[in-house]
Amino acid sequence: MKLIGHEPQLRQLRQAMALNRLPHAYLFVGPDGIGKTTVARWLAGLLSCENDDPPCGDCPRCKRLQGGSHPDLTVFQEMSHPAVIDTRTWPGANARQIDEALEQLLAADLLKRPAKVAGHLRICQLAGPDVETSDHERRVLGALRNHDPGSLSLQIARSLFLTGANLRYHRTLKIGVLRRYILQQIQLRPMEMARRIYVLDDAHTMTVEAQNALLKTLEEPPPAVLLLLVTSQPNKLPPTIASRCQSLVFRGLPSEALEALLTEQGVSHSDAKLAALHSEGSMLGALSFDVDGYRATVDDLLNAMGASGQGQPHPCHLGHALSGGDLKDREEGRKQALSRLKILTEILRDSLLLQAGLSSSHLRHTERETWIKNLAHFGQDALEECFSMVVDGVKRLGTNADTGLQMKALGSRLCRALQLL
Amino acid sequence: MELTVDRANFLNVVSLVQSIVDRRNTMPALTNLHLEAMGDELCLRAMDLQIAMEARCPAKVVTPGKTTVSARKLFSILKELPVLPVAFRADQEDWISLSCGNADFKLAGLPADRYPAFPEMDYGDVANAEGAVVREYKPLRIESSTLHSMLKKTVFVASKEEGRAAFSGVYWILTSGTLQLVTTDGHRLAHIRRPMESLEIAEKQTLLLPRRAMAELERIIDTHKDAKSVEMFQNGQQVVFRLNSVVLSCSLLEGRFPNYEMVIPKDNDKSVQVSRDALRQAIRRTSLLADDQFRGIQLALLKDKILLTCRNKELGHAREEIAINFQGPEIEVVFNSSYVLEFLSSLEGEEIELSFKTPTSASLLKDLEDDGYQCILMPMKI
Repeated sequence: MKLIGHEPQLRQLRQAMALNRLPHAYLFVGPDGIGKTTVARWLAGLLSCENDDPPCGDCPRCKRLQGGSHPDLTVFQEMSHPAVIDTRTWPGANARQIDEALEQLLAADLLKRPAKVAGHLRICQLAGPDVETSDHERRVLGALRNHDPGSLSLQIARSLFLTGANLRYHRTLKIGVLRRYILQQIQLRPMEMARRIYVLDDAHTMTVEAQNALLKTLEEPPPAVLLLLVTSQPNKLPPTIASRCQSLVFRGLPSEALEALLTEQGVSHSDAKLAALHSEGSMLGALSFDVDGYRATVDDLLNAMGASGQGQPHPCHLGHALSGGDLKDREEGRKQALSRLKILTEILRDSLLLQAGLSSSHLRHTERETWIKNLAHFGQDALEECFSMVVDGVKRLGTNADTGLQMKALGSRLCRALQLL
Repeated sequence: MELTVDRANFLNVVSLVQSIVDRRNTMPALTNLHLEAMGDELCLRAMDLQIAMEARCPAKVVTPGKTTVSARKLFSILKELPVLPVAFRADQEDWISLSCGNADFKLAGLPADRYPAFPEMDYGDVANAEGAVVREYKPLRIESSTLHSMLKKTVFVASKEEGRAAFSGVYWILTSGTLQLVTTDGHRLAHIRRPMESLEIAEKQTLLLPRRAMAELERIIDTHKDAKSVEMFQNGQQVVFRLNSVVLSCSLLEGRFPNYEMVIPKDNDKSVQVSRDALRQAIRRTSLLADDQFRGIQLALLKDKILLTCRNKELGHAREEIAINFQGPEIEVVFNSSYVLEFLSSLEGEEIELSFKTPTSASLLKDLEDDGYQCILMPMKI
């Protein structure tokens, strides 16, 4: 995967490297899907590459790192950690074939929802039992070779498993795995690089036993080892671990960078802008952002508030628009309601900004500007009251009450505030 | 890649290198063997994250090339093939066809570029102006038969658990004309010193090498009895051993080896000479009643006899006496019988010497004729 942004962090790492002051362990902290693990791999390249401008990406050493065949780099990753796959690395396969093959894996329970991403990219989440990577690869190959005996199956299996490192998947990082792959090998000098690098992606999935087993190594590290703990939930790591690593905080990517990335993938300009704006700096979020679903939700909400001039506003409609229909899975339903409430706050914000006399360039929903203008007749006070109700509703979603019921209640309260009845 | 190779030769090299392939490897590529056809040779490589091995066998190469294929499958197929030439072919997609007599196999391989690079090592082979190969750099030479017996007498002591480097490695001490190997697992220690005329080294050097690699080296020497010496190269990270065309490379272990000279007892005053075979048989019999986990038996030095006893609360007890010539003060020590038996089988002389100081200090076992090999055993407490 291409590395985008994070210049200050990269500069800091380069400098530490140049001054020969790389610590024995880093803790990379930041939101999901912004490229922390990519930076970890970049750092491996920085340590291994021998060219003038490391990592060059072209020398045999860099190629080996990218190809997943470097004995000195080991990456541990959570099983369902999404991987972005560039299908351009699969020559000779057309989009239909690729999607068919992914469907095949989905049917064999080896993949979770292959998201349809614009352009050449696909986001894949692995599924299946917690077994060795090579077993997984064999099963993927098995499932695919029946489907297509050609080289496509090999390419897919390779992209899924050998995405640039000696990779191990797990659900929770258990002590046995840690002992076998890190603690027992940590005393060996590296084969090729100056250090043996272990990337513990999703470090918060470590079990308590595993955390404790790692403590001694973090306390008294062997000289030729670099541990890179990567996490989006540092609060789940005990202070004993966090305090023994040098922290490096990563922020979300600027939306311009995401927009450029999406446009490069062939996404239309307006879609790219929308996705970039609403993914909070996460590349993964931007790539898998459902633009059409988002637009439909905005229209749903505006319709239910009677801003489109179509249909009759009704508390039930608004409640339904907020919960987004019933979902079997409670957690999924909660997430959906949460994202819809967020969209509603944005709509209310836009409306208030318009009333305050700001130009439409400040709006988030420029596409529905006329409808949002229609909301002005409710009056500023009513809209502000709605705003705080929605914020309150977000808080209440964290409680144990039924999501659908909460949204209906919120819908009727909003209707009353807007005097829609 | 296409070639024909003699089945026996092929099987020999495959069985040699496949043993280091770790079935539970992280990297799918490393469960495979790397095969490369060039000139009139087939070169096989196997690796895990600490050891790498390379071996060659003569082959009729039609088209040179490289590929990788599952080590286990290739080995089990070759074992079952009839004694006929084997035709080996790999296509662009790394599908491997193997035919021998009427048997045909088609195996799914992985491309060779996925395979990690073999550790780089400067062998110092440089072609001079006339094109002949000259050595710029002189490797250390070690007589292979001596090394083999030294490894055989020490490697078994090193701990199989790889938690602590010093206890899972073989400590090499190289000085001009002498080679010493030391291993310990915290409960026992083996030290062997042998003169090594071929060893020329400017100053004393010490290395800590992984146990598994040393066990492999022992096996390689065993299968290449015709080779006189082993060449040893190093680059600070890796040590490479070369024997004929077989290359074994292993990573150095970090960590300090304990001060073994302090552990070797110098003033064990109660010493006794006994027939190795008699002692071994007596211990084997007595230890039949020993606890399964701790294997403890009691050894008492009494006037003119060794008394071996073993008490087991659940099973009963056993005792046996061995007549010896001993007049010194009496002493009782408890040992792990498996450790003693392992030492007794690695000692070679007919008569051995046992020496003790106190029931809690280290005891020493050695051959009467062989001063260079010492086995140190810590007693157990009950």
